[in-house]
Amino acid sequence: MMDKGSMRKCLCLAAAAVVLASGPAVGRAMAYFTANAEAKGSVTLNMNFTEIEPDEEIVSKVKRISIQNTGDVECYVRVKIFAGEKYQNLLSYEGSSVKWNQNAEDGYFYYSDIVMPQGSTDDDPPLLVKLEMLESKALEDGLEDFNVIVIAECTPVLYHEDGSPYADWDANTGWNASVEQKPDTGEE
Amino acid sequence: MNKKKSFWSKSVLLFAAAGALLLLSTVGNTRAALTYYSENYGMQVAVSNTGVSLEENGVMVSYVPNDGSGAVTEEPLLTHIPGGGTDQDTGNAEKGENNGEKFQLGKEYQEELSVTNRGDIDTYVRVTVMKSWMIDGKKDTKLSPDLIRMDMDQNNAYNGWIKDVSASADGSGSGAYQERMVLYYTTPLKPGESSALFNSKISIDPVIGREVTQEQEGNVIRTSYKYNGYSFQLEVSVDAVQTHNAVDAIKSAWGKDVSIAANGTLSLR
Repeated sequence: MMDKGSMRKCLCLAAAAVVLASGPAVGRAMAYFTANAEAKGSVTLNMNFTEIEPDEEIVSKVKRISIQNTGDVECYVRVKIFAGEKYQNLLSYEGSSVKWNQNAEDGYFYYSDIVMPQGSTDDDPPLLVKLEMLESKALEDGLEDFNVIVIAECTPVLYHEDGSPYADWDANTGWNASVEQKPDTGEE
Repeated sequence: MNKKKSFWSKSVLLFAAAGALLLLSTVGNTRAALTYYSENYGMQVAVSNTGVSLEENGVMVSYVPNDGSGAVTEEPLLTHIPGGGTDQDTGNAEKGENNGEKFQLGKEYQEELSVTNRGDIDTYVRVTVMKSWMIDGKKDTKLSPDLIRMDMDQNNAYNGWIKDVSASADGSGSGAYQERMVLYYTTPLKPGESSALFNSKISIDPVIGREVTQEQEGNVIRTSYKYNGYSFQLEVSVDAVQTHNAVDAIKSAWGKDVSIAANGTLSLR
């Protein structure tokens, strides 16, 4: 019967033999020829901000509307005009067939060209707004002073994959599920 | 009467004879050595070198020679794009523009990436592409890397490259590998040979421009963008391994099980 000491010695020697035997196998695994190359880079988004300043001028009872781009980014602009329920249908527009095109569904006038930074819509025929009414109707309604309110909006120029520009008027605020990733709750 | 022993006794004579025999045998061997010689010849042992480089738009941007020649190439990616460059303090990156041109959302910019075998032996290659968002020098993991659009995002095979779908992002915005894409070139590259492009263009999904806040002061309306100042980052790592014993070599070096057809075409198991 082997005593404990002898048994331990035998086991140690067997373990050492196993390690020695596996050593050459490790050496073979490390002998494959390999190579590596790496590179990285980044691009900063300078979306900055868009800023517009509507300019309204009244000449001979006609409101002349133009929009100036006072921001750093190219943008598309649109306007919507309100004159109160009584007078809304009495408004008429000039210049709308050239660069200003009205969308019948939402009532906005869309300027077809891109407005460059520090540029404006002044270079083209402006959008003119005037109130037309018959004298009889004016006497009937007893018209007094009224307001024509212009709402102006802008959106930055975006590009399709082929490089053609377009406007996305569906910009919203708040958390957007398609942009940010959902936090990992660890649930399956 | 004692007989005086002579110096030259039998023992001494035998010893001297043995010594003489020993010397004679040595001389004989030496003559044999002198008469036997071979022509000097030289032999040079050459060890094969492996090497691989990464090219962007036809220009080498990364290469480290294995032969220790010291001609290392390390260039950043994306410097040709407005706002590009790894140094955020450069004029281009800080202003987010190049020669007055600003980076445009949705627009596709040229980003042709390929690999070249710079070694002495045929090799199989693979690339690992990492896409991520950064702000103020730190990674932002809330913004989806899928907004950084590249050719292989929606394809599992392209131009002779195949995607390891088990180790790559699946485009769902979730999963373990949201930032990563691993591509294998299915044919071995000979020394000096370049692969087909594994990417040709890069763009940012314009939906990122939807996150806005608007302020109005009098007649002036200002629209600010939530992700203004964010950076998208691209990291590409290229690995090459010998074609000899390719299945074992790839398993050992890359931990991936592959099959090699008779014509050398690689496929993933």
